[in-house]
Amino acid sequence: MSAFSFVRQKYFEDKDFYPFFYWKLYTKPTGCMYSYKDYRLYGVTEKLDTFRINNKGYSLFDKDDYFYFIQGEAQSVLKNKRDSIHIVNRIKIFAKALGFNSKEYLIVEEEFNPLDIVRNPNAYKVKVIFSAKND
Amino acid sequence: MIDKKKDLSWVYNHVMANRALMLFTIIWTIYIVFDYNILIQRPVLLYEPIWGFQKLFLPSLIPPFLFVIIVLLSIGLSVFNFLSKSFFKCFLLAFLVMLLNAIRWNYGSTSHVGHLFILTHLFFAFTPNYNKRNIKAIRIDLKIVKLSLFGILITYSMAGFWKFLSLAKTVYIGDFKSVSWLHKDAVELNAITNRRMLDNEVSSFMFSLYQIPYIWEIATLLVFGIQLTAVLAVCSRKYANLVLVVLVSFHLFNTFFNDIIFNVAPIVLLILLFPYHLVFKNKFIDFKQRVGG
Repeated sequence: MSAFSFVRQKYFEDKDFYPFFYWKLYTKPTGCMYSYKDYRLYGVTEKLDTFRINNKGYSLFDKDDYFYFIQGEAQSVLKNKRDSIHIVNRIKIFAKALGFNSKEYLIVEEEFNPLDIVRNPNAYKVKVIFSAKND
Repeated sequence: MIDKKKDLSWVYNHVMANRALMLFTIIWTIYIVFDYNILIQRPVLLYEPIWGFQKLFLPSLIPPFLFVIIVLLSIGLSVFNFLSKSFFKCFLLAFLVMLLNAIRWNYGSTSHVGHLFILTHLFFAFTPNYNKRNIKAIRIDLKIVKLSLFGILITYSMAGFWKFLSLAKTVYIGDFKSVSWLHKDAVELNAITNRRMLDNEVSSFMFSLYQIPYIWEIATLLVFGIQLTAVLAVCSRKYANLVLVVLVSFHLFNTFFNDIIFNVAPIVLLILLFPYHLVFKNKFIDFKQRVGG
């Protein structure tokens, strides 16, 4: 899933040439450190409760598209690569395209041990890395 | 005499593979039309080219009239290349296929889908049109057929090589903090994390299957071994069959159990390595007589 995007972000950041293939894919299993970080979009309600926008597949963005998009935005945030107002706009428009209508959205890092989460789907730690607010 | 027969089977299989590739390209292009219909409904602000060729040729979402022209051109070129291929037509088609495939790559990330397909189009552009050749030319050109196959399959071999290099490094530097592919937890860690990316869970049945000792380590080594030696498929038809079966199974396993969805790659592998000369035996005999005189 993430392999190609991850690789692109890691190794081809400033390179423009499309290499047709990449050969260092999955040299180790993902989750090989017994810990893995994933990114999800969360919404904030009027009462300031948060809700997770699950990657369930939407009409304009299927499961792969959702994953790739949020992963890409999260990487831009973490690397401080782009103007944050630009990311705020993109996140809000993306959430609207999924069919949500909140005043604020969060990009949340979910960290988990794969062997724990397989038994308990809620066994993950959350950390907000970006907030997209209407003002 | 036997050598000559073998040689011709490679050529015949290549001619058939080219036709199958062109037929599949027509179907694939129609699929891209449906995909474009979704992409055009996405907000414009989310569109951001990544690669240089995207910035150059796809700076914004292709307007519908241009898209229709490219689609019709692709289908037309597929039909013409099916009937009688030429370098120019194939090369142009490879370029158009690359563009059509990359429309999807303008929303944040490049996906893993379509690379093998584009590469196959590119390498097939360099092989001759056997409709117009005689046996003498074919015996010389056999190298080109094998070389094109070699060029495509070496991507698998290089990926396999890096996996073995990683295993060797693990042993050499004694890095046992992170799990290598031969660790007992490797397959389940990989499956759980990859499936979770799409908010899917590993079923308890599959999880219990992953606990069976040694089976997965042996299967992993087998698949990586075949991946590493995929280029050897150009040396032996029997080995090509084994490579085909193992790599297609590998892609299907990843599609169904790891959520690394490969729709195009298994079909392209089938197109490339299918033993046409055995399935269409009579046509192969006709072909031999036609080119052999």
